[in-house]
Amino acid sequence: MASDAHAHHGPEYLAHHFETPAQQFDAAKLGMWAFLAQEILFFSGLFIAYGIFRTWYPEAFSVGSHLLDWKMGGINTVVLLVSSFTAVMAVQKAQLGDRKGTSFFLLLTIGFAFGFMIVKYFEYTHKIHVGILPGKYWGCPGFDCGSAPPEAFFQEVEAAINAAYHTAGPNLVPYHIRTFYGIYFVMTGLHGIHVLVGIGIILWVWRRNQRGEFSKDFNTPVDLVALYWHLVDLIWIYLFPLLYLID
Amino acid sequence: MAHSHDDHADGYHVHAHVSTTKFNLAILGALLFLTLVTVGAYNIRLGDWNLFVAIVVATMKAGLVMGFYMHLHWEKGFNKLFFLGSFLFVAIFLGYTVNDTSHRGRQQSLSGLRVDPATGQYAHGTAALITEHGPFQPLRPVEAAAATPAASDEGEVEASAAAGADEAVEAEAGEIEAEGVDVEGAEAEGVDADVAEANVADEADEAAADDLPEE
Repeated sequence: MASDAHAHHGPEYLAHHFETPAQQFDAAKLGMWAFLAQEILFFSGLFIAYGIFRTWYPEAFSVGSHLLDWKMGGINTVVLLVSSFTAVMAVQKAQLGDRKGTSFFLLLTIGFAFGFMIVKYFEYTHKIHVGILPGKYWGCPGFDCGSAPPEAFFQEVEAAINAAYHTAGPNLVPYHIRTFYGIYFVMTGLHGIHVLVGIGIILWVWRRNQRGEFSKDFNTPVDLVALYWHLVDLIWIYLFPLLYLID
Repeated sequence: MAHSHDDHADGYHVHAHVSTTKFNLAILGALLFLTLVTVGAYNIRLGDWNLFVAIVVATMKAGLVMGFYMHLHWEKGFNKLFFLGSFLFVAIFLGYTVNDTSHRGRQQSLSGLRVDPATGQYAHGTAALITEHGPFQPLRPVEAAAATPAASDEGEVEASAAAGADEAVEAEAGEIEAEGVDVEGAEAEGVDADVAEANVADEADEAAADDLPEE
């Protein structure tokens, strides 16, 4: 793009339609906050669905939640919180003009993001293997409704019923447990997609940092990618207790 | 506010807030501590208080992340308003929707009226309340409906337990249509329309019972 168009004023990173770096920064920040507000509203539909179905079928949510492993969810919570710390440290290093430090903390953040997805992978594959699946696939191991669920399915469901605070009754599997798992897979799935997208964007920002595009004066992309990552953490902060920790 | 004003005093260069490593670590410590609190609260089995405690602690954590990791505390007022405003709209969305869906009550098998299982009274927003305040009577009289014990629903719930969720959804859609027709039909034809309405409502009730909250 016309390098001569902005060659006549300001530093290299200042786009020609901005007067000052401060103006460019403020515009980028406002745009990012607008995007994040949209993300909150985007997820809100799912949280409202959660609210409706939890008030209608508390027993399905109680038993369904006890089928999840809260220790796995807890590990992932810690992983994401620490990754938020590394993201904010990447911003600090970028603000101080420490290129190496920025790259280090960005890579660390990506590492934790992969750690999160690995735990998620183990959770999902177990659920799919046993047949703890949403809607009409409830009790269908590997989405195959022609075969009977393995013994582990019945053991886990029975243990969950016995541990749940709200139950339909002894040995009764709440019908709408399949609704709970619909909500579980869509909410965690959409969040997981955000984690994967985050890995891609952080990798891109890391590349740009390695190329030397950022400095003490210009590091907005690092700032914005960290904001996105914190939002991903923010969503999980609510998902963890709402899905894994129902009494 | 004064802080951000100073930050942009020269108006040319960017002067964003820079947090110290020690500060960021302290926030991480607080976040991990609050995670322990949630998990601890879960493991001492709070029952009905479970959701309340989970939401309160999660909101404290969200506040720490937004305020200090997302630097919202040092952000411009307009950006704060913009972002936090989205939570206001989520609250309106959630409040109005759940207030509706949790008070629709359960349909009585004979009258077709929705009864709030918590109180045994007619659920808010149903035709019964309208009939009490005016001559408009699309449904059968309130006295007849009141004579039908809500407890008679119990058997039907079990009988219809085998009915699939898809059927229930279809039946509910049918019931809405049936009510729409009745508004005209009952006024024009009187008793006959009432009977037809009761039959339609019964069918819808049996299939939909599976889809309604049990208490």
